[in-house]
Amino acid sequence: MYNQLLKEKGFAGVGETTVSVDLSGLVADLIENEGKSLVISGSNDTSIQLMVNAINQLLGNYGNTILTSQTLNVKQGIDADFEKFVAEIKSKTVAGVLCWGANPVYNHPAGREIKQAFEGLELSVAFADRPDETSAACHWVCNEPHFLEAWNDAEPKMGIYSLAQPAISNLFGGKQVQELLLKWSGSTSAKYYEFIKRNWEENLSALQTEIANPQQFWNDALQKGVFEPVKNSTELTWSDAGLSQAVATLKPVAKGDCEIVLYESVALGSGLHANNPWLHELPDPIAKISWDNFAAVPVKWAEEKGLKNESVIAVNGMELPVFIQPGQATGTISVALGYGREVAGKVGNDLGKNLYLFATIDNGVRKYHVTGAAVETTTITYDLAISQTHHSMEGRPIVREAKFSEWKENPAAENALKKEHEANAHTLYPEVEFKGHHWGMAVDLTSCTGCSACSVACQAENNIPVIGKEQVRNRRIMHWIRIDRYFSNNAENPEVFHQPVMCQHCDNAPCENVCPVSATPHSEEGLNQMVYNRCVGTKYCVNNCPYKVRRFNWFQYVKNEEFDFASNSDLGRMVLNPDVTVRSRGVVEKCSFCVQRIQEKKAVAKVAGRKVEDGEIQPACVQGCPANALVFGDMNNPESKISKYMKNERNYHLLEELHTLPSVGYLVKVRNKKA
Amino acid sequence: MNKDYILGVFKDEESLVEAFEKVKQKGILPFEVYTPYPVHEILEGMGNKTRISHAAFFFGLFSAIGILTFLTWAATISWPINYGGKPTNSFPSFIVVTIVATILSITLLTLFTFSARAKIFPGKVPEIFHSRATDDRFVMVIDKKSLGENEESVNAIITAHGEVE
Amino acid sequence: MYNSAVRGRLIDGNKSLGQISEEILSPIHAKTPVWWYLALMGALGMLGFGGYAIFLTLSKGLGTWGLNNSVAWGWDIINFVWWIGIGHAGTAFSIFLLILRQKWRTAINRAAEAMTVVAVMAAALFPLLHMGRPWLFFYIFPYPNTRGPLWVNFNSPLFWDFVAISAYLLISASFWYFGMLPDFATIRDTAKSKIKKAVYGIMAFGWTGSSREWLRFEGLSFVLGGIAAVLVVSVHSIVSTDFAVSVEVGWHTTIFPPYFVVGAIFSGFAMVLTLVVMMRKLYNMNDFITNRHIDAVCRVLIFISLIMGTAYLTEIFVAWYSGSPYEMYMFFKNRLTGEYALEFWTMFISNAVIPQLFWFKKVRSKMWMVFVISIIINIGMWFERYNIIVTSLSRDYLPSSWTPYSPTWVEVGFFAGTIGLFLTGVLLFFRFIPMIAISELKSVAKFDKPQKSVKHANHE
Repeated sequence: MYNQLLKEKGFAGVGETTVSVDLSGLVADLIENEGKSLVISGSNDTSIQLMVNAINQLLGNYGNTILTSQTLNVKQGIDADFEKFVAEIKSKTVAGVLCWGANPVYNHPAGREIKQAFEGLELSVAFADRPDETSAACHWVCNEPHFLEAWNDAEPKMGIYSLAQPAISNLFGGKQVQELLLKWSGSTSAKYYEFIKRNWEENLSALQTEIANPQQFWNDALQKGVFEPVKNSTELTWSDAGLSQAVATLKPVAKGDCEIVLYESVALGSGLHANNPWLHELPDPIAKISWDNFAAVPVKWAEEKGLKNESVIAVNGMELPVFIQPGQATGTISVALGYGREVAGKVGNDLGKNLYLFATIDNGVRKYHVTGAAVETTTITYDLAISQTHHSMEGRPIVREAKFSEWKENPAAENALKKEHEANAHTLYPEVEFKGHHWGMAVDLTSCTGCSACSVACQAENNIPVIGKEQVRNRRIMHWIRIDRYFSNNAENPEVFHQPVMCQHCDNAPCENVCPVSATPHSEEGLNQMVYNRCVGTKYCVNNCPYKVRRFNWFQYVKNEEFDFASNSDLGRMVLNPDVTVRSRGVVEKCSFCVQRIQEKKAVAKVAGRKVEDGEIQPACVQGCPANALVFGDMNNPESKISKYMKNERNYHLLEELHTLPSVGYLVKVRNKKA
Repeated sequence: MNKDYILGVFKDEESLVEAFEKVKQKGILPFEVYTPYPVHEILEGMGNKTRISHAAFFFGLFSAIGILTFLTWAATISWPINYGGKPTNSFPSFIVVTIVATILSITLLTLFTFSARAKIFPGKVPEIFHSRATDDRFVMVIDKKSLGENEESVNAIITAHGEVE
Repeated sequence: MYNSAVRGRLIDGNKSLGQISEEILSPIHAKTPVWWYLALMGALGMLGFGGYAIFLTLSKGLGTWGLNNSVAWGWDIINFVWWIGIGHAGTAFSIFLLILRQKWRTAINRAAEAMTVVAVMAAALFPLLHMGRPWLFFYIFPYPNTRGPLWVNFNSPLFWDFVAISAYLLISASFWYFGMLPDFATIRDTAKSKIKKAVYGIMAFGWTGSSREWLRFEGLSFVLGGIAAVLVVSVHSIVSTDFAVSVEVGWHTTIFPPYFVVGAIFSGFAMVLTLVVMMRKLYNMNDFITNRHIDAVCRVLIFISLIMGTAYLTEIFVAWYSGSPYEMYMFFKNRLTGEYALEFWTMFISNAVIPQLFWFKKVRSKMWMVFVISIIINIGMWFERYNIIVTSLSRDYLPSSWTPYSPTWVEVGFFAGTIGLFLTGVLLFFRFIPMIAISELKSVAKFDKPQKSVKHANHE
């Protein structure tokens, strides 16, 4: 790409120019948006990073999209250093090791050797708040408190300091690592709290002038949680040092038959939190598979090999279930990291396969792809918990999409149906008026990336049970907000559509009419309510919801040994939100727009003698959405953000031809494409 | 042989009907006639009337009004609830329940009425004059007191068509 | 009066009234045959298996079934509608043929009514146990309570359904029972054992056959017959509103009420035929349930089958005519062709095509063929409900929620249990209750006597 960009800009090209992917469109776009673009590197390889920096420099991004005054202080590990450490413990040039916040036995390709090496050392100590592969391999394990039980401070970005204070008293009497280190290093102050406080009072308070008294400064910082001193003016600059060497080093990836790409999945990431059932249950945003990692294979290749979903292939001898992924590049198979934990806890043990073993060390850098892997098909199959099995919208106007250029000319592009449906809407009964509040939500499909953070946020807020692989496979997932994913019909190079679907809180709700026992009536604020203790579980509402957002408790998911995830111990149940009822077996549940939060903020406003402010109430999904794709508010307040969204010409309702009058609006997805 | 009653026992319907009519011509109304199946000439001839269908009509009328009133009251006054944007007084919905519940009320009330009027109820000890009256005999029971001096002629009528027991 | 000349004689064999009682009651008075015990054991076995399935359902939850987030009704409601449909035979037979003055019904209606009661009982188990919390089923009664009082949702078809089904069960049971009073009295008076006399004596409610009783009895029959006719039409119409009132594709169909009623009568008549052919074979009732009876039922079935075919075609036509992409997809890509084509064509051929064989007299007069076709119709009607419920739910509006459904063995076991219940009921009926309404049959028998007096002929 650097090469093509250089040529476009009229410079001489460098290096070899064989690329398998056509980048011309991308290059043109980047040139068009010079100074407003950003190219990022996905690799730890300094050569690649230097190249990417060069591209950004070429595009004039330095100082524009790249801030040169502050650096990000996270992810500073250096692969080469770790390789050196591995060599040292193997050769026993070090006598002991203290492991804190690292799990190399699991996530290093040579994990097994490291485990053996640990056993051979004179001393190996793990500080851990939960068991993992490394702590199991160490001689000693020190009980570390959970971060919510401990004091801490951090500087995630240069010049931004933050504090963490315990939210709960220490449950299991663990000792903070820092305290232990202080003690072992002979410090007299045994409390880490005092150590932090002294550090802040003595050193950080000097960075500011507003508060003279260090004690007062500490109190102020603790209350705010964050301290941002006046920025110092170190400016980073670009230099081309090492660039030519980098260009020379980089060779096109050797082309094998099949390249295995290893990636961190959206839910599980590196596998650090593999004992968290929420993450396992969350369907992958693209494949919609929970509880396993799988080999995503190209459609054509699967056809050639006669593979189906859930067939098993052996990759370098490791058996992996197949998911046929539209859009998977020819000659590649991708598999998620983070699975296959052996010592993670009762939930996380032995789920999926550990792909870290396939990572390679090249040039002192860890590479997460394998070229020329031996792939064999087998006759066995493996059950996958797939929660969406139909991938096409069947030509239905479910996710409406406009091209960017169309939208620029006509803000209501691709949304003509809405007008048509509104014109066709006839009703026997007058529409109900909501006199006070009328809550509504809007989803901007352009912003939504399908990351599913809303699902997990909702699960945490609303005590949604985890039901396990078998029940997810039985299509009984409990998520109140789900991300529907559709592919366009081109299997080789499809476009992906993500659509969060939660209860639409229809004003003409089909579910309400059919409940015989009045367990789901409509509130005066436009909410579709669910009365759990009245529900007898006829499931008629589940059937009659055209959006299929209602969830039934097929089993007793709480305090049931058959569903041993989080709710069978007192500790596990501490995760429950006390403001939300835990549902029993046999009742229907669904999104409530976080009615507990609505009521709470209404009460706060009432006590303060004012009206509820726009944006004051945030359901968990809205709060959790990193892209601000979800907006919640009172549709009766003409000034509110939601009212403006609802009046937006891109706004439409899902299945509006049914005249269910949903309180949830979707904003037409605008895709960055030319007409 | 019964002391107070004469039992005319017939083998078929025609004999019974003929004997019955002859006895009636004498101005004597038999105490009761027992048949294995309803014989319309007898039912008419015995002069009893039933107003069970009138009763049923009024049961129906009052239940229908009562049920519809209850539904409307419960849905609009007692606790009005918004179901799917419908008005609380969703009259068309009430019709369905009204029809079926009315039918049920009519049936139950009519059955009770029948039980009470015909004295047919569980645990009733039947007065059986002739054990084959429910099988294949038609039995006419005549109170001797009502006969007076006609006893002989009635006996003759009966024996002409059937037999006296 | 009733003229039976058109139909010919209604019973064969020149029987006296006494003979009629004796022959119909012989299964009650005679020694129970061995096959009966074997069959009862089989039926109780199935019932027990169903009981175990119900036990699992109740103790573990509905998760033991194959239902899911999209298809929340499956075999439970299919079987419910199927049984209710079968349960329509009894009342339909008694009522419609009574209204139409079809005297030939007398030989069959008792069996049909018995079937109704057992089938409705079997059917009622499904709505009860398909609930997530069946122990709270009483919430559906609009009774005064301390929660407001909170009444129920009178808009819900399930509430209508509940009222209709309970009314239907109560009414058909009492209709059937009161119709049997004279016959119980006959058993009481003909039985030799004291226990039998006492038991049937209690069951007869003190019936003697007096003119007063008969008068009111006829009045009662008239009233019940009249309103039960309305009931037959309304019950299955209401069952159909469970679907027709919804918004689901393939459910939201205005044709449903008549379509369901006709379908119910269709399956009911077919089941009656199955049962009656068995009665003839097992208890030699050929003289009472004659070939002409079977013939008549078969002819009715041809007619209903044509209605069914018309209804299916109408539904398909309307789906196309509506222009709704959802409807078109449901009918043309999901039912006629596609994943559920097998079920659709099973339904269509079994219900609309195969019964047309009854046009041939040879088919109508061969009992085994009649028996086989009646079973095929019952299977076809089962698939009709499968089509309506499963295809609609598994592929509705949002393709993201499209989910296949297949039952678990627990659901199948539950269904087997209800078949066991039905068979048990039918066997007990064979054994302990007069299979044919004796008193009604006697009243029609008189018209068959060739040696009728001239005088009586004038009556007619």
